[in-house]
Amino acid sequence: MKQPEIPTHAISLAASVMSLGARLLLGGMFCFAAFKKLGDPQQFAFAIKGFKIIPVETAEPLIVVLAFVTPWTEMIAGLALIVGLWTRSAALVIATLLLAFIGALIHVIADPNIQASCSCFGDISLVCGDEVGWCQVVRNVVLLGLIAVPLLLGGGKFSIDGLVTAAKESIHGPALGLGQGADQFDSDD
Amino acid sequence: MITRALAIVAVAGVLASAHMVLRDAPIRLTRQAAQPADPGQATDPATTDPADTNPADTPPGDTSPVDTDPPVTDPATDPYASFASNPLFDEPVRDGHITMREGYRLFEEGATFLDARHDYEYEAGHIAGAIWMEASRLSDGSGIPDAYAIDASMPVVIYCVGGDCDSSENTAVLLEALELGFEIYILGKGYDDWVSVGLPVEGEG
Repeated sequence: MKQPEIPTHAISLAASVMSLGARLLLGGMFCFAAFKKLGDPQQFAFAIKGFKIIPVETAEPLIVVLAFVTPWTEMIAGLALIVGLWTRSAALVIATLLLAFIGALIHVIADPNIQASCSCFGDISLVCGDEVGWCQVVRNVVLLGLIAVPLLLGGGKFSIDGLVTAAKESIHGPALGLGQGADQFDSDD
Repeated sequence: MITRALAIVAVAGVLASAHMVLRDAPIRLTRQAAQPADPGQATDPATTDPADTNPADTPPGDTSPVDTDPPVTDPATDPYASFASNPLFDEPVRDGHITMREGYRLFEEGATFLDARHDYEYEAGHIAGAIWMEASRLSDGSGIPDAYAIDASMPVVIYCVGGDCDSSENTAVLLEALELGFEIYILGKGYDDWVSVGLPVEGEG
């Protein structure tokens, strides 16, 4: 018996909606986290120092640079994710940040002599408390799972990437092999 | 995709550089000022060996533990004999910090105590008379009026949860940046140790 076929445009629409949800949630979270950190870079620098991964005695300037570059990277990647511009690239940046954060958290948890505050969202505690623990690791693993959606599916129809691709298709016709053509723009590189 | 990811990081780097240049106050992570001499030398020479905890001998950032034994005290002449029965009272602390005995001596002399822990920890209980001065209160400016209100003629002792907590150091770094002329000491042991020795506390807890 022949299985009913699911229209390809329905698959694309569902993927676009999933991607939109993940983009708004993660992009919003990272923009908020960046905003809180950029409001008090001194505190974020203290937080990086507290993780005791970078020795403050020999690499203080590196900690200072990271205290500014990390939140600005979160901000730019978060904004790109929200509007769906270079979606896969922004998702890759955020996934890399999340992996780095998970590694840093495990480093602190593994060393009982380190008592560090997460400062993940500045002075706000989201889901987990401020003290570093497994809760933050689990939270970041969940976020890593969510970022896989835009990383794999792209921005979808509801993104700048999707609009650009649709505009290209209206001029040149649909791209071969890429079906609904909503997320090819960010695949160009 | 990787090229564009690198471009995102590059844009962030440019904005971060501009932010660093335009920011008024430099980021400080370590103490710059010369640290005060051992508080025990002038007031109570009978009780401690200054070599144990003299912050002046310590390079900034040195966190190596002290490898000497606790000072020997004579219970007959020790004014703090009742506390000294608890080993935490004289337990050596890492270089640059003061012991519980030295901290309590400064407490009795009227030093200002600053609690560098989180607000909820301070509210649950703190050293009697201590002012809540988490480093974030100085970096965001909300605690600066309180810092200016501190009597600069008296020493300041900062404490946190103890052990390797950085909060006291961070508060000290930002207090020194205000250049208010404080003589700043950091208590090597934490609040819980202070409580377990039976020293004065106050608060909800």
